[in-house]
Amino acid sequence: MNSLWVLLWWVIIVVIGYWVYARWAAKNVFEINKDRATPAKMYMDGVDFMPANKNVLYGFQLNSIAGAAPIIGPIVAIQWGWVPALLWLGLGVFFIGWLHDFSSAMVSIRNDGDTFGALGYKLISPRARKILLTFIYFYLLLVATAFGHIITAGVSGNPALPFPLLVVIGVAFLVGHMIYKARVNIITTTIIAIVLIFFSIWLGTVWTMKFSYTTILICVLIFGYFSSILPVWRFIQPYNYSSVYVVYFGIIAGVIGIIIGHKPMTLPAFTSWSIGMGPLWPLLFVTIACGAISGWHSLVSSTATSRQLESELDARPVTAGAMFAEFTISIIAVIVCATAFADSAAYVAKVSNPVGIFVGGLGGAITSLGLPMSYTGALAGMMIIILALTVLNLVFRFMKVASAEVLGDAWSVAKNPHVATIVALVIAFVLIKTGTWLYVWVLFGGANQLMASFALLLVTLFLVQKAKNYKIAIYPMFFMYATTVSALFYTSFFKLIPAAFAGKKVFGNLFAAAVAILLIILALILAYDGWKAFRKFRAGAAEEAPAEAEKAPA
Amino acid sequence: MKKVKYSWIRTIRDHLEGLFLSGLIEGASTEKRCLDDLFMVALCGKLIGFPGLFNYYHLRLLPYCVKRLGPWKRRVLRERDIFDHIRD
Repeated sequence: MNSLWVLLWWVIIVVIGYWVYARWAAKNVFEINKDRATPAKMYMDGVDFMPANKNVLYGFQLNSIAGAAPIIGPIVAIQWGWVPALLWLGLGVFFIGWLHDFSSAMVSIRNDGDTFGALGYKLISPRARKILLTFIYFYLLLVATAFGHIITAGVSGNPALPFPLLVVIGVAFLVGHMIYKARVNIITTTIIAIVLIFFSIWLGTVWTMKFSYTTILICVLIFGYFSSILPVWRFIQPYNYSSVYVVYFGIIAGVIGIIIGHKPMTLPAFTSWSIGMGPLWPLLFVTIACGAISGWHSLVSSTATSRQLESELDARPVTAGAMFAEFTISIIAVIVCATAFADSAAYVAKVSNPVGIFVGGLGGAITSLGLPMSYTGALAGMMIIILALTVLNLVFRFMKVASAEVLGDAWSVAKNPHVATIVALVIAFVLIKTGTWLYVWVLFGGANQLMASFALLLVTLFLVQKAKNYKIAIYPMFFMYATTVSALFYTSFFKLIPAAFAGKKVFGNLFAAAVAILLIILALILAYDGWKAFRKFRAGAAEEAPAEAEKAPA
Repeated sequence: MKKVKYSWIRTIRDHLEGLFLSGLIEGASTEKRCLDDLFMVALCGKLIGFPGLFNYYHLRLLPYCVKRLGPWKRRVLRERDIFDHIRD
């Protein structure tokens, strides 16, 4: 089948999902009102609470949610065939994905811009905040492990990538210095950064470097240490700013290449209900996390976006619009992967190194523009490595803060940023070196989707409390909860523990299984508290709940 | 209020601004806010329970800071959650 037919599926989902279903839900369920004052207007402080133009905010939201996961997930999930992957992506974003992002922002808006910690405390139970925090710490550990391996395997397996990666890191320091210290014009700085990065990608294809897996892993963790310790303006911000041009150039060139090349889908449309990783349900639904639905988005929507929306009317274009854009990125990933291999044996042989697959797929698509494969492959590789490093930047920083919050009172050394960061790095190092990546990816997806079901639980409770149609959120919540807990249970008890007892990667597999079991226990506690809160609100005790009532229209 | 009419070029420009520059702008605003808050605490700390250190300058500069007092008090006295740091 020609890959252009996939774009028809994309159009159907986006048009009906965004312009029909999302519009209906925003109007009839959430009753958005342009006259109701948003937290950005009520509590304007110039930084956190600040009304922003919806178009600017849309770009901000997309930049915050789009990482490497919407690309890696579909690449791994095509093992079941590209039709199941496309179906889950489309139906997931249609029924759950956009709703999750949009409703997370709306619940926060209607609760004075409160974050999930505060909302969990008010709507679920006092202990929900601590549970969420502990959950997020281990979720981030899985993120660090999954993405740490992706970067390490990608860079150690492709000699064209180490040099441009070093240049990108160097350029980040240079850009930070030029903007904040030397006060050089932003346009001049940007041009210098772009030229250096794109030139280095070409130079990397000529000046190849080969390092071992462990050497690259240690370098990646040193990178994580500095990104956690250094001030944001010194490294993370300039890195994100200067490297994002490579990413969006790659996406745009990829889309044009797909349309010009319109290659046939060569991988099988459907392989089997059960593959080596496990059965299609629940594992496909967690392997593809972002792109269909992702718990990370709810954190962004409720902590940053909800405090900058100028009007409730902007919530749908900003949050749901960005979600459908991320869905688009995943569709591109499916197409480039399914058109890149002559047969599935070549694809399966590479599946534990998704960067290698993406380099062949996107690199091949961009060659339709007339660029040589050596350059386009390196460009695609850099694109995915940059996205993964962006995620890693955030992860270790937040793990440092989270460990100080959870353990700081009992153990004062946890408040030391160096100690907290090094502990997080060492745990990640051990799990990367001793774990099995494909299973860790499933656990990461499971934790991410479970986070999404917690967000939908909060939305359900909010809708019940306000006597609105909560069914729109409760069914997706049940589905995501059952799917993710089943996936975590299956992977830990049917894959990780048996593998460890068979003598394969004993420590890493048992460690990963222990993390999965801990996440399941936390999920069960939260579900119990959520059920009690649901019954309380449904019984009409809303007025006794500590949550504040909605703000009156301004 | 007069409604601003957006051209598609302006819309794309705003999208790109959000996509590429919002992180830098947000970071610079946060840095500025930290310094401003420090200044305000030193100057008007009494209003939020800090002992007053510079009474003379407090009175001299108060007229210039009156506009900023409301948002500043709201910001520094707001209960903060660890989830506030998710994008830091």
